[in-house]
Amino acid sequence: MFKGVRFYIALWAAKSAYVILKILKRNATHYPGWVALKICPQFLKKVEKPETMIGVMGTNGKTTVSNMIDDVLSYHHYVYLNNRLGSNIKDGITTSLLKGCSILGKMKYQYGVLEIDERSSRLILPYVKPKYIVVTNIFRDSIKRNAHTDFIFDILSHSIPEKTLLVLNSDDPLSNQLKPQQEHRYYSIAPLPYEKDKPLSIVRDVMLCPHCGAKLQYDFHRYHHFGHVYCPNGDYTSPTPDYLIESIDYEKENFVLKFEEERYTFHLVSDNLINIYNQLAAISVLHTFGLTMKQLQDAFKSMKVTRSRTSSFKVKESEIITHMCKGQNAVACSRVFDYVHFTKGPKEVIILLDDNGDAKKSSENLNWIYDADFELLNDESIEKIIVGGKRCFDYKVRLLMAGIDESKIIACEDEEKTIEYITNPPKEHIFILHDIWKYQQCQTLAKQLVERLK
Amino acid sequence: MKIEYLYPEFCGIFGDQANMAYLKQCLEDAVFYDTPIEQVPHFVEEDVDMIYIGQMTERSQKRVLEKLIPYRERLQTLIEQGTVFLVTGNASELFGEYIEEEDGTRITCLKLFSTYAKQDIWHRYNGLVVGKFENMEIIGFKSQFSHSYGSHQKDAFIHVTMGDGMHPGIQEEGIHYKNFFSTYLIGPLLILNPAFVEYLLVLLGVNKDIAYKEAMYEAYTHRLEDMKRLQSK
Repeated sequence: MFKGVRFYIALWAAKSAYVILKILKRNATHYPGWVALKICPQFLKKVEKPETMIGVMGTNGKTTVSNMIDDVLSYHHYVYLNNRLGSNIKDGITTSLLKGCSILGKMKYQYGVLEIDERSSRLILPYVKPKYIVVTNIFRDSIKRNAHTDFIFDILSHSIPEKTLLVLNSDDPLSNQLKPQQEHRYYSIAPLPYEKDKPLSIVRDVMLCPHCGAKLQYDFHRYHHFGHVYCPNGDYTSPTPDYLIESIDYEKENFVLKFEEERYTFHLVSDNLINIYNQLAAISVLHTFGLTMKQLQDAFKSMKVTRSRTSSFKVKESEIITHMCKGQNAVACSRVFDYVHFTKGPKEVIILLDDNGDAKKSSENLNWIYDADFELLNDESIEKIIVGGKRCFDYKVRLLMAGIDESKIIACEDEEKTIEYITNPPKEHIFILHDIWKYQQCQTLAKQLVERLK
Repeated sequence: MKIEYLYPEFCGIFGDQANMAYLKQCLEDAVFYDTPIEQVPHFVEEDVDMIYIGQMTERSQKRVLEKLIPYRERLQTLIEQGTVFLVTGNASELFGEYIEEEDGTRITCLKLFSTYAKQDIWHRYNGLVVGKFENMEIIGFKSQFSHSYGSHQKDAFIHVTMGDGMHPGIQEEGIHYKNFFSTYLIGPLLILNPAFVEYLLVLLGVNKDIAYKEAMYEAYTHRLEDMKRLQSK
């Protein structure tokens, strides 16, 4: 079908831009889409899409879930379109789609996996209609961009296409309320033996029954607003999960998944609960998509979480663990602090969470650190906390507020010097918790630390 | 001493709840009421020394107004008799005349001050603020969907020297009337401004050091220098 001269000019100009950027060894994941939309504002509507698409959305975990879905599909030799190396906003999605088209505008792929930014979904989903959308969760995120959960929930409620089958987290009483009139599948993790029923969480964005406004009660409260909830008036309850992780064996590195009264054992990709949720989300949507449990079990057998999120170095009897902490995102950081908290053995922690851009050009708004559960770092096993960067004095106040003894806290403005404060001989674990853009820097720091501690 | 925090389950997003968490650490002997939405506020039946309410979602604004409008007269009495009020973020809008939504719908507010707010949901405003209050330099952050207009000059809380006041282009930020303080500044306003905490403690009749005084002033000094560097650019 002829789509108009403007569309083809936009397609060719954007494809040319893509080729030129690649020759110049530049990142061509955003600009070609911008060019296409500038020339033809209707480009996203007109461009051909893969017949079957999986959308991945949610405040935290969508990149990890998208990567897992990609890895499973690749393992089974699916050929599909994705935006793994691209941006998840309108220009990035447009770039991915135009890359997948021939010069005559014919879509080359039958399948597509797209990570979609929640805030941008109102500009994308009217034209890109995934057959399946998996939503990981809705939490408080960067307030400067995403404001609050009511704002994001309303955008998703209005944007998600009517015919999409939603795969939702039953344990999240916010995202599991999306589009109640549509077809759903739900996933959940049963209460685990080590979990406390009264979590130490500052942020809790869902308090009331969506129908009658009564205060929601918990059968089991995992963290933040996550858990198995019910309305005392009987107007709402957490949906019964289709996919349920019944038990996790950390020593054997596996978990048992129940689906329709059958039980399946899966290799555990990560021992961090947030990544177990991510793995479960990927399994649930891929099974809904049509893969068998056997195919999924096989594909996950040798999978690891992407290295940019976490890495590990051995030195003497110690382990240095770098872990990404999404700065400006209180819940994401709290979940990482929880992981540190539950890691057994004596440890020291370096925190490098300054936003690189704000550190150079602005004065970072750190309100979010008072929504993050730094109290989880107030633990006897954590013997020293070194906060690095321009805002280290603000973090020191936050740590004091969390009840951490001042003698344990070191504020160091120079991020590169933080490793000098790590005790030698080293403790059993040394954590370097870093913002999303500091991965390379922290890899270097970890390697320098290994040399220093040898 | 009695300090009432209104509706902490809704009115403390963006880190605002930390203002009360910090005051609790400063005033270990005070009684703190954390009043949930389903409960009648303590200020209705008894005198309290201070009332705090913080940032909330736009949906929560309506829910909270429904609860507070029946107590409008009592709130006015408390303001007039000098009870300390600290109101942060968009909670400040509730004390004005009305909030105008994007479709023109007006939500009636407490009408205790002659300001009104207008929402603009698709143009979020973020900003840094440095301003003067008495002999203090107040610092803070804004992140909001709405701005306030109307009478503001006489009772402004902060005279902004960097950033915007209650709406872009003006220097008057918030309201200070007797011991009532409201401002669009969000989050841990008290933690960012130790001198203002000391000022509040004097208003509350407390003569003691604030918690973590040295660390608080160290963080404040670095932040102020940082902001002034931006201001001079």
